[in-house]
Amino acid sequence: MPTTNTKTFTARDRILTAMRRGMPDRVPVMPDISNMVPARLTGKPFWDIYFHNDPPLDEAYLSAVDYFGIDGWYIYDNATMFEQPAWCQKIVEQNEEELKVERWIETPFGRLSEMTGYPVADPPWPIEGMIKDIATDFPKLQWYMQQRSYESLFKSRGKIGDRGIFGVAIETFMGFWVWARNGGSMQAILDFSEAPDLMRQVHEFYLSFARDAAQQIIVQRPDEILLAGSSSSLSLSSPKIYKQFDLPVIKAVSAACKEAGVICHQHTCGRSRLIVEINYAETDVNVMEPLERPPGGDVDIAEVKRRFGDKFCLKGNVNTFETMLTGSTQDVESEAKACIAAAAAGGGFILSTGDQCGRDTPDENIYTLVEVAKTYGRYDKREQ
Amino acid sequence: MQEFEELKDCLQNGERKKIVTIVEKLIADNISPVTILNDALIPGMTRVGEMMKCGEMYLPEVLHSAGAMNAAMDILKPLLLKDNVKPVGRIVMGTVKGDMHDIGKNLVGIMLKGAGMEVIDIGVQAPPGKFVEAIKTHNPAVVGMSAMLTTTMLGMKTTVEAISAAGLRSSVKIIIGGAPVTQRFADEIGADAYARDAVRAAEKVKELLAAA
Repeated sequence: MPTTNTKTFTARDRILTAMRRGMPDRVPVMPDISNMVPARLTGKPFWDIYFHNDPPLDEAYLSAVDYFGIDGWYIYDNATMFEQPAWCQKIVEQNEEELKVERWIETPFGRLSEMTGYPVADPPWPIEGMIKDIATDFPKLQWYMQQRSYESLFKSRGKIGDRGIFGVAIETFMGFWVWARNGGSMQAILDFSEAPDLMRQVHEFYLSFARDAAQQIIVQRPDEILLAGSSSSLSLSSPKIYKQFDLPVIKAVSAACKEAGVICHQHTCGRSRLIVEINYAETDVNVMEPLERPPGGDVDIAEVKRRFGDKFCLKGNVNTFETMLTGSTQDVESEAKACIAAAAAGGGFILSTGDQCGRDTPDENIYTLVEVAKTYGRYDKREQ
Repeated sequence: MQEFEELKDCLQNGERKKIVTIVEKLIADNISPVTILNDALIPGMTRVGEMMKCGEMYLPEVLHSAGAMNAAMDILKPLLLKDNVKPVGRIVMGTVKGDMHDIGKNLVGIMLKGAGMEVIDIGVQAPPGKFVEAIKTHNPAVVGMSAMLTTTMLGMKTTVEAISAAGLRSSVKIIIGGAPVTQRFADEIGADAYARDAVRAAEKVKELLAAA
């Protein structure tokens, strides 16, 4: 039985074939370097990239795709966080270490505002979130999110070409709420017990929003819809919250994808083993990632392949801290080979990292990951 | 005692109103506050920690448990002070400069308070000088530092150096943690301990206090 497809594959073909649980010419290699590594490679203060768009983050990423020779993953358009109409903004403080920016938009319900910090060498972080008070501020955000047209979400789709796939992201419910809520994840979690009635209204709105956004996006035929679910991780959330608030959104979006033949890909880092199991039973998600192993996560990729590999393409899971950041090239080679040995057999596997690579991940470790995929990335059952 | 088991259950289930009712009744029945703390609340929070460690409880539920613990402690604290009961140890903790992540630190704080310790939380983005000042002000036995980013974890090293430069290193034990942090890194920067999660952090702090 052939275990290697000898047809010539572009990176895009290779990824899409693997995502449909097929066997391309080799295992695609897509380390998650979506933010920090490309920003670092520009050599510029991070606020140049994230605030001044000089260069825009997506272009920094595409340069990194070329630099490392990876199979690319363009995910810089997010339907939940999409800024249309544009926000007003002004720098309120600047020093050598950080830029503080106030941002606001006027709505029929009053001003919606937030404050963001742009550190010189790290990605931006929310100093003050949009929803300070749910009852007062949520109608403003609700209004804002209903003003959008998604056509311009696709204006950059040609940038990646055959170097990889073009995806559009929709946040899971927790992803949406942690993004919007002042006080971040802790407050977002407490809201479920402190304001249950309001949270039911927020959820009702977001479910309808996500369903509608998915329908409008699917019409434009992206390569995939990414369910961005970092905050749905069971390192932060709970199975109860996941089932009650995230799952309806995931089911709706993944069902719409299935009907249209568009790949649905979920990212949930940290503790996610139970989420893989729940999604297996109850959703139409096609790709699960990044399947983080201990200590940060709880996934054994071999076990997940055995139990859920007949439904999911698995993408993961070389550890970002112990291996990619602080390990040697030998450590990277060894763990990457073990991942391939555990999860590639029969197809439906993409070699990646257990989450986003840290800023100072050595280039040689990323190169090694790529080399392992190119050299050993077969879909057979032989020892790697 | 039946009520003590109920208190443990209240903590596990995050039942604030019920825990207040039971604690108030026990106080009215002349049960000493320190007995309530040592025989019911601390074992109850230990159970919560164990359940979290083995995946039977999750962060949102632990936050509810912490809320119930705080409600009980609001009643007990003035009485413990009146009886001159000291906490088992005092710890200053914070997330280092440049890092705004607070969940891990807060969770460690919950576990430490649940173990009967006094926690001085100096917040997120704490520069080395803030740790030094907090040590001078509060005279803790242990200092805890958290970082979630590979870039900010280096702030732990500068904080250890600042504590040494201030002549305070021998007066405190230092424990560090956070996603990118490892035992190797702890050894490199001269920290006394490393913990990979909140439950283990509380265990390590107990060990540090016992050795002090």
